Amino acid sequence: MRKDSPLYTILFAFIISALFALLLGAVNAATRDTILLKQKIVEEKAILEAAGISTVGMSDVEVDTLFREKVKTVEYSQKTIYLVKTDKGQAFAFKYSGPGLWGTIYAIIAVDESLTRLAGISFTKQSETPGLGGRIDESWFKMQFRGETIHDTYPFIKVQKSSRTSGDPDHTNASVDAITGATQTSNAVEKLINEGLKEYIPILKALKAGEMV
Amino acid sequence: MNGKDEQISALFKRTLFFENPVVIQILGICSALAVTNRLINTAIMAIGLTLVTALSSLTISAIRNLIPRRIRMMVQVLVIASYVIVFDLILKAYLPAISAALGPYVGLIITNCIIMGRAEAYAQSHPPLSAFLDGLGSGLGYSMVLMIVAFVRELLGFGTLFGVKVTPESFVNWTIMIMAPSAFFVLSIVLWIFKSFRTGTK
Repeated sequence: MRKDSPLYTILFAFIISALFALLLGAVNAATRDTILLKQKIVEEKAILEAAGISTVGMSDVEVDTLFREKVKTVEYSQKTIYLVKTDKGQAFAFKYSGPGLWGTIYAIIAVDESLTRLAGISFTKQSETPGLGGRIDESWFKMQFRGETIHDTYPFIKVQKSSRTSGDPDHTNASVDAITGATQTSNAVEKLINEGLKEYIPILKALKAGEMV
Repeated sequence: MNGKDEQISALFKRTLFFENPVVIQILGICSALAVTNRLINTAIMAIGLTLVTALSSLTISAIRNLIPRRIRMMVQVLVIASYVIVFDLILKAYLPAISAALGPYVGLIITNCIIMGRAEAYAQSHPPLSAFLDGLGSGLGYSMVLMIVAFVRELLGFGTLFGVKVTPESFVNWTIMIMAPSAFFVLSIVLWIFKSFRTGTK
């Protein structure tokens, strides 16, 4: 068969595509479980962290065991709520996402048992500017939310400019420090948290009332 | 450039220096700008690109006498894309943090002109071993330039090298170094140095 004949060309295209498809299929099958497990662990870590439970230095298996021990997942009014046992009682955590400066910010927001204070916040995925908005994933920024009072009316939590560099130490003023040089991202996080709380606090109240009965 | 009787040392001199894909041929600039603000991300990207270039050149060269001319580009892209997907899956499975930091740029290795360029300009017409070495050399040429750019950007932008703090406390980070524009400055300066050095030795 001539190498440039249409039949050879078509046959060759089919065979080579099939061979490479087979290779990709094999690699995909071999790595799929590991990839899914890693994604699950990332999420479990974020939920535990938001509720104030440290997973620093833990192996994947340890994180998974701790998660099973501490967290109960419930479906309530079509939302997924994570009930996390903490040393201060129980925290309610939920996933929430909103637009950031460059892409969607995916966060886990946790509220304490009384629903009047945040338990904490963590981010599972964000693509803010590294070194500027990307600093929302640094612990000094996230620690500010731990135990922060939730204001009665909107905005529940404010993210405000400040000259401090280590974050707002006051956990009763319903306000945390923004990141210098990352106003857009700070505003995006503020909006994300407030929208999340606006949507979930009533649901959590209903859930809590239901639990009491 | 005749690859059949080219010595290995001459080949690496060519791919790393005289015909460096980034600073001389100005290929692969997109990722050179995007992933060079931290050395660790750059290193993984460089390893990925080098492996993909070397292996696709090897594969394409091995089957070069079987590929019909009319669909050779399709075959090249198929081979390159397959290796990139394999690399992407392995990163996701074993280095998820770095995979997340590199974002879409791993997938975009497929469109990196260096790989396609080496496949079309070299692997199509040279035996597998030479093609493999040419791909490896071109990948290393790319890696070298990226590591230089990333070294400067991470040092000045974060005050760290591979995430380890090296500058004194009083050092104020140059925020601009973290963002894309600085890659243009740093890359241009590197390019300038290479070019003038090359002209000098000729």
